[in-house]
Amino acid sequence: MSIPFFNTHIKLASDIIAANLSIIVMMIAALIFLTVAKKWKSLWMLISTTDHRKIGIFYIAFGFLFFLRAGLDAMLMRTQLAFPDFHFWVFHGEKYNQVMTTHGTLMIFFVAMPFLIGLMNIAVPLQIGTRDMAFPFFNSLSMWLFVIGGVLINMSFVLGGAPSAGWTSYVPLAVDKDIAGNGTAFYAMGLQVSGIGTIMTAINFIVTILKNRAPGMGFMKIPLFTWSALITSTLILLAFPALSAALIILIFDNQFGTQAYDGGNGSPVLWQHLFWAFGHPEVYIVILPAFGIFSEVIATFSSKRIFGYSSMVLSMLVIGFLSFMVWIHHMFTVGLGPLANVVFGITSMLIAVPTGIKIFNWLFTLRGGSIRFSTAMLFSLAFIPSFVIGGVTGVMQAVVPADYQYHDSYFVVAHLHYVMIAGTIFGAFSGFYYWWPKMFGYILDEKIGKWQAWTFIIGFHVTFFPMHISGLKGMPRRTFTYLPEDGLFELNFISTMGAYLMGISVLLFAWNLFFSYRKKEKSGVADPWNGRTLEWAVSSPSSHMRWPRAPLIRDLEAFWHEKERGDGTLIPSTKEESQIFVEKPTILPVLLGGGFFTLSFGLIFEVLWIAVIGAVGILLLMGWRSISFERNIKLYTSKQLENAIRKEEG
Amino acid sequence: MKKNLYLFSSFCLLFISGCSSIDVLNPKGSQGNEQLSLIKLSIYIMMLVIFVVVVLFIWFVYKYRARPGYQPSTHQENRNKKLEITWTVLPFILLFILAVPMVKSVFGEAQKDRSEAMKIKVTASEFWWKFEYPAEGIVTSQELHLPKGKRVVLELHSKDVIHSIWVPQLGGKQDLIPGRTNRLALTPEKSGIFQGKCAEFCGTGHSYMRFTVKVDSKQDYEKWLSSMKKDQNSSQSLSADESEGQKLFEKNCLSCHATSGLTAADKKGPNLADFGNRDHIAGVLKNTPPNVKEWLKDPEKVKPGSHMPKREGLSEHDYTALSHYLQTLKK
Repeated sequence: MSIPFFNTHIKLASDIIAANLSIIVMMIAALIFLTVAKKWKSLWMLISTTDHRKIGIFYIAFGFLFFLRAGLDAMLMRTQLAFPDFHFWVFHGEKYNQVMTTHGTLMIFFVAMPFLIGLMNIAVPLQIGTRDMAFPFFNSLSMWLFVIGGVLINMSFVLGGAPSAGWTSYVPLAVDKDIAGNGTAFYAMGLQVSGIGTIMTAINFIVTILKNRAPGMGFMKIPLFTWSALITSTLILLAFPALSAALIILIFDNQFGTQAYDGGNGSPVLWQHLFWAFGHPEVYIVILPAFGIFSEVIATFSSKRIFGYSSMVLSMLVIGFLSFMVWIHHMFTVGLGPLANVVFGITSMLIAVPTGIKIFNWLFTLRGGSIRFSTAMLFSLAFIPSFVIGGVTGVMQAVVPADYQYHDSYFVVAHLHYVMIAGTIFGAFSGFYYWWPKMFGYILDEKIGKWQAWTFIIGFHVTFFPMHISGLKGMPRRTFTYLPEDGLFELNFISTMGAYLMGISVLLFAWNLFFSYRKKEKSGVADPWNGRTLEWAVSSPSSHMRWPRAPLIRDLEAFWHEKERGDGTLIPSTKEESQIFVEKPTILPVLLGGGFFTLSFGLIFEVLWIAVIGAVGILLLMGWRSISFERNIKLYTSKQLENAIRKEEG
Repeated sequence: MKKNLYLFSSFCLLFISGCSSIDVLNPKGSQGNEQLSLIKLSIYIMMLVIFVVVVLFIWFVYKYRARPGYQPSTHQENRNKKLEITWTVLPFILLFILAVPMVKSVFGEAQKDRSEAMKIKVTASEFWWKFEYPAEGIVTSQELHLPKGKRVVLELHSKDVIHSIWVPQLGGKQDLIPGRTNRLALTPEKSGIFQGKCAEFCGTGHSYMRFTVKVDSKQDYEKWLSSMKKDQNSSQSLSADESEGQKLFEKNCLSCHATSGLTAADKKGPNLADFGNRDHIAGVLKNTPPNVKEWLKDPEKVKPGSHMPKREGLSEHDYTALSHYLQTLKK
């Protein structure tokens, strides 16, 4: 059965019906929960919040939902690939390409990014001793734009077809007539809208970290996670505009036929340059905050200061700098000539040096410490050898002629998952277990946590290690099947088994969330890990109103310093502040998000009036914000804030 | 330590030499060989790196684990100039060892004289390959015939989207990009049949965009060339069934498919001269009459995304006749 829907058709096949049913069931479950548990009011409060901690939680919650969806995509793909010439459900053909594309796009932009930006939102203001982000309204708006982008990408599957040109969306394939439905339009609008939010977040973090640090926190006293947030934000600010530009051209090519990327009048290679000029820094955008998390966790659970702090900072800066000079290594087989290939091969190799420095610094942080194996620490420890494997295969691919063999094969799939999962996802899980008490005021269960960590780590290696070999055996990436005579069955079957184990691990994590929520272990949650940085000096969950007077920072590990040398509490600075700025809750960011959604919907389905309503709505809301923003701000003096906090605590 | 290193390197050798079933590690062409030597060098260096990291990792994690009765030293080392310089300088040396042969290899291949080599024009489209031999005036599809020991330069064109040509056992890949002409040199050193694939994701049928490379001795290759230049098939007398198939072919298929291997007679679909000798139908199914029937009945089902249309109004008997006729297309 086929239902016409604006400029496309929705074919009600079994997979679409299943997807629709699951969406309806989840919606009803959410409605029932909200009504029965009387949570409608608190949901309203949450939606209109400008508190950095709650916004961080939103990022992570939506990131986790998208993680489940993209993980389900991965399970479907691995099932389809478990046997040679297998016809699993509808995934022998175009549908596979759709889930493959959604998997990649969601995992990079709507899982890795929000997990890390969420953790940055939660931890960075705490670590630098400020009360909120520099622009709380901005912060909320960024988050809602990210959510809208993610919802757009997720909707596409049931509204006529998901994007199916790979997460890199190479042209001219992406604008090919054969691509189902409005896939490419969904991709371009989803990324564009969330990209605007990401750029705003980056500005927000840069300003917050540069301007709002507690007195005494010089640049060399900034905790490493905050450093990583600062460098990542700078990379976002420099790299995302390249993506935005590339996407604008893509939207024009796709919707209006401008042919800028066309093989005849334009150049398909232009897209690759723009995409990777963004895409390679993006790799470091999602890895540097993970590096920051590992630095915090490894130092805390080794009960030792991080080894080589200044070289850690310097190496992150060098990595950030080099990340803009290596994008051609994604394009060695494009035929740009020997000079371009060699120069970019060598710059790519050079990234190994600062990364190596970091690895050895982490190793030597362990040395002489007293290592406690919490779940957060397990993920951080597993990261070291796993990431080294991903790192060395990266160097191997920088050897240009050898890359002619690895390129676009499963070897690359193995490599990118070794850096993305062993780096970003291990880091995110490590950060969740580490900062969970700061987010919610209770600890995640350690026993289930350790089961989850081990199944995830083992499943990860079982899934992705064999892919190195299947790549060298000639398996190209992004194929939905292989032939029996290729001799790839065993390797693929092992990979599929590993993927299921990772799936079980994610379910364990979900179970842990539920279990720990019920148990709510609340004893000693303010500083459960014997922490070293400032966030452990405030209550858990961190309250929006804290630090009536900013704390005085006397050491890199500010809280540890006070524990060892002082009385264990931070010394408040004597400076009297007269303009402490608090943004009141506001629903405007959600409405603006709705405006962007309407605009995107109109553009995707080529319905002009819907797009116009969206655009006008956005402009009106922006105007409203401009004339009303002073009403939404409350100013305190230090004394008033002190009184307010006392009142709140009763 | 020395003994460990010895054991370790012999393990590496074992790992690499024991992989003859892995295409890339078992090359049959000179480009593939050169790439393998770089792959081997980098694997050795990287094994060393992994070894050092893993040993330190296990050692430190074991030795400094928190346990009853263990008291960490009060002096906590947070800086060590000598160590930090060591792990900053050593990687440079390792990378230098890797970079020099890389640069040599890239420029060496680029500087080789192109005029000596044999030229073949490759055109990729969704989702099949066309190979033209301009000097001979012939064309094939899905099967690339090469003479052993001769350097061949493939001129790469694309009709629609970006594809990438990859024969793992002969050498690395190169993209085929609409609006550009790339070149890929291959020099097969052993005769045999090798798998070729499209490596760049090119749409629905990407997984099945395969081809076969047949490397023959010089004489066999010449024989194939001269047979392709002839307009007739080797099996001239057709049975009643087969000639019925021929008629059906002329009525239904001839608008897209040529049965002559001459470039001048080529049509927009894959060339079917010598089809009877091919290993695969459309790169997917083994070439047998029942499989040909399956393919003709519903190309889209066998090869998702295929642009070959389903023919309406053919009976079971017609398909049988067609499949038998197609097998007679042999040079």
